[in-house]
Amino acid sequence: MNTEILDEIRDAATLVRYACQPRLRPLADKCYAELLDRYRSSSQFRDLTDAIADGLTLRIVAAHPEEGIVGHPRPDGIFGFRLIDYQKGLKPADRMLLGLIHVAIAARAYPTPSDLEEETIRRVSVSDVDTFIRHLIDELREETEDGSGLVAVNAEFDQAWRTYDAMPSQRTTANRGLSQACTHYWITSVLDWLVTQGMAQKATEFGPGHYRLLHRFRLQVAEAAGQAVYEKIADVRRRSIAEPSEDG
Amino acid sequence: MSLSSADDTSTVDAFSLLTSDERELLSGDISSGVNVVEAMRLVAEPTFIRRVTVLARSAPLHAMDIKESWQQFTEDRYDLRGLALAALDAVVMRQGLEDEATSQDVIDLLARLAYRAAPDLPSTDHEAVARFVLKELLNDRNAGAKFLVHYSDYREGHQRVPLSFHLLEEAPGRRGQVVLRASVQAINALIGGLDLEVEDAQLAMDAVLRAQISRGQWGRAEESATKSMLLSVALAEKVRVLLAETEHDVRTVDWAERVPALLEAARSHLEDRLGAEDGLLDHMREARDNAGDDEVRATCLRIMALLGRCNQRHGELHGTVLDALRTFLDAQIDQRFRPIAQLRLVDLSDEILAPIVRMTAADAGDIAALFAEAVAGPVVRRLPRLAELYQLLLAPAREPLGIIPEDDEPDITDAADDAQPFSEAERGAARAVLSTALGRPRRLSELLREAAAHGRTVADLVALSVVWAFAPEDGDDDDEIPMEFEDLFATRLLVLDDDTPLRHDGYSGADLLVVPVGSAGERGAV
Repeated sequence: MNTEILDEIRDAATLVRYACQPRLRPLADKCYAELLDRYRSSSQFRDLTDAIADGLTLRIVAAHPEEGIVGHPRPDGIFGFRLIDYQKGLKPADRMLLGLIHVAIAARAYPTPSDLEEETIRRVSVSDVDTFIRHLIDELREETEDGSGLVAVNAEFDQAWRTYDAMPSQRTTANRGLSQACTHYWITSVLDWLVTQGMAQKATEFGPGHYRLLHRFRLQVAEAAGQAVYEKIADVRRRSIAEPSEDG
Repeated sequence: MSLSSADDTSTVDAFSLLTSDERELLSGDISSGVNVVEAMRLVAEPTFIRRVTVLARSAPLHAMDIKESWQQFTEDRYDLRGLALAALDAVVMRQGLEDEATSQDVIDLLARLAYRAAPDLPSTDHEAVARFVLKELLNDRNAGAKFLVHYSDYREGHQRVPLSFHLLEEAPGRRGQVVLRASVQAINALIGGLDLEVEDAQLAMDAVLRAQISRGQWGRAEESATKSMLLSVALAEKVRVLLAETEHDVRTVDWAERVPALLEAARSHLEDRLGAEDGLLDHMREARDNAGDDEVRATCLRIMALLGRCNQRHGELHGTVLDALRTFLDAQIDQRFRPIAQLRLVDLSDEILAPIVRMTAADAGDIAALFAEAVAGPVVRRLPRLAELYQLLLAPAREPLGIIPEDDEPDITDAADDAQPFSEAERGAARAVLSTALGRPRRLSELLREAAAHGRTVADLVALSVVWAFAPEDGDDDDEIPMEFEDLFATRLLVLDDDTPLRHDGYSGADLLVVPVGSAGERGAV
């Protein structure tokens, strides 16, 4: 085959490799920066890269000048991620907690749809996220109360927020670490995981437990939250309307 | 007019004896006993249910008594409920101020109270009680989770409602140390189970305070002043949280109606209170100047100090409330008046977080996990490299497998390929020496002397062969005896022991006799 074509294919594949290494940045790596420029300027190169990524079950979501290539894996593909792989022996309640914290961090950082587009870096802290979720829970608790301030007659008691509510915010173990039985532990572990995936950075100059959320996170949330989760929620809603509840 | 038996007639008779006035009095309902239907209606009223929840919230305090029997301190000398209430009081008095109560403060206080209750017992007992009470209040038994009690709601049939609440919680303090904080439910329980809206209770409290002062009931006046301050603490927290949320996301707080109404009520209420407390302070000052009793004056000063603090807090809060509108307008400009978003973007708070949090735990688990998995980005699984895998498998085990030291491991090599410890020449010489016994019986000492001429190794070989032939080992391990002397010892030579001791340099034991097989029967021949 023509050596030019081979070189182009090799460069495209290199760019896809960079997409799978989310902690690398084009500003630090000249080769990365060149490839990124080519991606953004040449449509042929872009098509080639997208095709290779597609073959590897990865969808290229954006080519950000500072963040680099942001790739979103297909859930059934080779780069897909399952929470149960993240930690051994994960109980269903813990899995829900981890998922809920992810959603809460995203909702806290980007409350409105336009926030998902804006190019400002958001900062969150562990206690911030915890307070946010508990505030939401207080509101939900008020919803279950009727006019006279008591719990309504037909309230449900197995909702997700009650699991979070039952757990205390902070609890230390004997050697001053955070115990697993407190929400700050889980929030910290999610934020640390995001740091490993190149989505966040520690911002300890603002105090312990502060993190900066990068553009990569914002772009992943915009792509990820969009379709799959939204449709799933619509499904659940449709199902609950179709089957009347036992009390109803 | 007989007093005779039949009941009907006697009742009618008594009635007819009454005057008209008495008959009027009796014309009301004379139903006997409590009407069961009435009672059922009472139980369905909200006030009743509220009282039930209040009583339910004091359950942990009572449960402490039952658990007392599990403890190591002396039973039945301490009033655990009273100590628990004292702990709550101590925490709430300092909550939100400069020096909040730490666990050590509370334990010291409780130990001192326990000492007063039982001065004859050792101080370890007092400390044990203090720690026990504090741990119960923090619900250490369930790792700091909320207390869970159930009550029955009889409004529509029956429903069993769970009630979960904290009494005391640990939290980071202003200076980084761990302090204790009482929850809102605990504060209400302290205030004698009122559980009403903050503002109303405060007005009631003021009236009580004034009445008590005018009647000179100083002790209870101080108590009311304490309660006033507690209520101020709760109110301050409410407003602060509201404003903080507004600054973050305007939409989560209803600024159209609810919040302006609340702020207006709070503002006017605060103005009332500042006025009322000023009035009270003047009142107290007057009372202090005219009081005769020293103790009364001391109480008065205490209450005034308390009211002064309250006043200060209200003043700060008032300022914040006045700023609230500006906070709202700034937040609104910042957040809401922006260019319209692209259609494909989803509203995370309303459309994702809110539904998820309201779903049942099972559904929420699936969907939230889906979100988390999608957001993570590409995760490259680490595949083990085969070359490294090979080395890892063959690496020696890190833990000791048993007591077998490595030296005892047998060689897994063929005996035939083994490097012979004796060379050809040596073996030949030994064979020659041993063969001399084929002619006539020889003693081991003689053989050794002959073999020694060829060298020490040959002598060793001879000795070993003879000894092995005399009593071969049962084991399978191949030792140094070469098999080639088998032919000599198996059929043609015999080794006997007649208890003669061996006298030869370097060897000791029995001087064995090597006899040729043929002559075994002929003993005595030399």
